[in-house]
Amino acid sequence: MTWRHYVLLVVLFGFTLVLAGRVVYLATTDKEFLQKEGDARSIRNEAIGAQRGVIRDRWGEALAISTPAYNVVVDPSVKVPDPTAIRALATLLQLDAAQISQKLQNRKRQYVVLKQRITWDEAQSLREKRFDGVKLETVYRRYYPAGEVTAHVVGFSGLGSRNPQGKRPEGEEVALEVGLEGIEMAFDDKLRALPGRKTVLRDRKGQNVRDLEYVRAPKHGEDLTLSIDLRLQYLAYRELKAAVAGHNATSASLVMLDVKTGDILALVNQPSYNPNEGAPRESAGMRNLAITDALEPGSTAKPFAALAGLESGRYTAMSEFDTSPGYVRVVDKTVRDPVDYRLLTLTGVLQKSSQVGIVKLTLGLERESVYDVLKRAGVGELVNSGLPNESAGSISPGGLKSDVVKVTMAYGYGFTVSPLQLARAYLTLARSGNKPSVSILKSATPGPGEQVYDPVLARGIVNMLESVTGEGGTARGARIEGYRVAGKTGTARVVGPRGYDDKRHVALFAGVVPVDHPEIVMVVIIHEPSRGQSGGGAVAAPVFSRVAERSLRLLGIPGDSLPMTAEQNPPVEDTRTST
Amino acid sequence: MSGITRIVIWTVLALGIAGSALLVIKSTREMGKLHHELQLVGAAHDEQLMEQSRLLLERSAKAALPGVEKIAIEQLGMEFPIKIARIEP
Repeated sequence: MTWRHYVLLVVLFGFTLVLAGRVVYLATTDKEFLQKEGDARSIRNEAIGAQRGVIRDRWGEALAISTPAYNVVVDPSVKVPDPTAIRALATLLQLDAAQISQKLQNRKRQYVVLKQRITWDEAQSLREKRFDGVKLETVYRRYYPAGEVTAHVVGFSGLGSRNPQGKRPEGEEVALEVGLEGIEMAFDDKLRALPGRKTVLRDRKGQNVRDLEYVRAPKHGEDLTLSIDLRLQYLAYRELKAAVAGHNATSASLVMLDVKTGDILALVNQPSYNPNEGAPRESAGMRNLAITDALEPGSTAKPFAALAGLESGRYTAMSEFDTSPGYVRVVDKTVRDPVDYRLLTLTGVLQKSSQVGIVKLTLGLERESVYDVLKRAGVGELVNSGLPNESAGSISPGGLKSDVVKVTMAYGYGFTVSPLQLARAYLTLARSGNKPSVSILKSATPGPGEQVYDPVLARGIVNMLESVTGEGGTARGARIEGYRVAGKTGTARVVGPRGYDDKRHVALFAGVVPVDHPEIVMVVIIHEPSRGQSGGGAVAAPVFSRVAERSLRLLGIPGDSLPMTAEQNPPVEDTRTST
Repeated sequence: MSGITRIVIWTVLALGIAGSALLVIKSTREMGKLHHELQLVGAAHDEQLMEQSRLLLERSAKAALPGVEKIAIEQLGMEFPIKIARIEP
C-alpha cells in the first residue's frame, strides 16, 4: 500500500465522520423541526367525500339528489402550474388566467380552490389534459328534479359552516353542505353528510402515494321520505299558477291533506323559485305562504260558528233565521248581506254565506262558544308538520265581552290562521271531529288523533256544507262530476295602512271530497285577484275543482254520486284565462 | 467459537437482512399497488354514484306528470276522462 492509498483512506474516513456527525447533530438538536418540515412537504390531510341524504316523495320519486362533483385544487407549496398550463386551465374552467396566477402567488399556501363543483364532464377534460400540480377533490352537488314545483317544501342547501339557526355542524372545520330552507333546513341533522378525513403521503409531484391513516370515516346523510305526492304537487302547482296569472293575483297557496292519515299530499305557493339556481334575489318568492302567512279566514270560519250553534243544543240544521232586511245592527256596527235572503235555515245560512244569519246565530250563543270551537280546531297553535317557520296564527278571547268582536269572529275576522291551519281545521271536520297530527313526513302508522267534536255534529256540518256547492250555493265552481263536494267559500278583505281595504281581497275555498267517505281536504287561497271577479266562489273554488278532480282519479278514489244530467249540471263559466 | 461457525452466523445474518429488505420492498410495492387500486375503485364508485344520480334525475324527469300527460295525449292519443258516461241498465 502506497502513501496515496493512506491519504485516500484518511480522506474517505474523514468524510464519513463528518457525514455521521451531521446525521447525529440533525437527529439530536433539530429533529422535531426537521421532521415537521419534512412532513409538511409530504403528508397531507384529505377529505373523503360523503353524500347528503336523498329526499323522496311518498312513492319514492327523488325530490333532492346529491351527485358527485369536483373542486379543482392546487397546492402552491408543492407545485404551481406554468403560465401555459394556467392559460389552458383558465380556458377550460372559464376563469380569468390573471386571477388564477394571483391566487397561486403565495407559495406558502397549501390549498387553493380554483373552481368549486365542476361537473363530471369538465373533470374528465381536466384529467385528459393532465395538468401538473392540479388535483380534483370529490364533493357533492345538489339537484332538485322538480325545481320550482317543490321549492317551498324541499327548500335548498348550500355551502357553509353554519346554518341559519346559528348551529355549527358537529366537529367540522371546513365548509359543508347545509340546509338553508324548507325540509333541507328542518331535517338538516338527518340529511347532512359529514366528510371523512385521512392522512396521505405525497410524492414531490404532489401525487398521493400512500394512505397513512384513516382519521374519520365518512358519514353519509340519511334519506327522507316526504308525505308529498309529486303527481298531485304538479297538478296543484300548474292550476295555481294558471289561476294567479288568470286573475292577476299577487300570490296564492294551496294545501291538500289526506283525510285518513293527516299527511300533506300537496303544498304549493305562488310565486315560486327554482332551487337549482340557489336563493332567489327577491325574497318574496321564497316565502312558504301556506305555513308562514297568517290571514283572516273570512267566511271559511262560518262552519265552526255553525258547529258552536249545534253544540249549544239551541240550533239544528233546520233552525231558521230571518235575515230580512239584509242587514243587522250590532252595537254601532252594521253587518250586511249582498241581498236580502229573508228566511234561511242554518244550512241555508252556510249555503248563501249569510253574514246576517251567522251573526244572529252567534248572538244567541255564549260569549266564548265560537272561540272555543275554533281553538279546538287548532287555531292559535302550531301544526308541527315538520316544516320550518310555521305560523301559529293568533286568536284571543280578550275582546269577547264586546258583541262586535264576538260576531266578527263568527264570520272570520279578528283572528288569523295559516292556510295549513285552516286545512287542518277542515280535516278535523272531515274526520268527524277527530283532529289528527299533520305531517310533511310520510306516516307509516298514522296516530289515533284527538276527538275534539261530537262525531255526529261534525259530520252534520260536512253534510250541510255540501249545499254550498249545490244549486244556489256560493261555490258551484267547486263541483266535480261523479263526486259529492262539501266546502265553504271565503272572501276576506285585506288590511291596508288605513284599516280594511274594500278594493283588495283574499279569495278562499276550503273543501272536502268525497262527502260520502272523505279522502281529500283542500284549501285554496288566492291573494288580491284583480282581473274579473274576486270572490272565493269565482276565483278559488274552480281551482279546487280542477285539482281535486284529477287528484281523485290519480289516487283511484271511487265517486260517491251518479253523474249529473245536463239539466242538473249546466256548464259553469271558467274564469281561468290561458297562460 | 470456531471460524466456520462465525462465518455461518454472519452469512445467516446477512441473508436475513437481505431477505427482510426484499420483503419490505415487496410489501411497499404491494401497498402502492393496492393504493392505486383503491384510487381506481374510488373513481369507479364516484362514476357509479354519478350514473345513479343521472338515472334518478332522468327517471324523475320522465315520471313527471306533465311529461306523462304529454306522451299520453300526443303520442298515444289518450284523453283524461273528464266526462263520466251514465250507463242505464
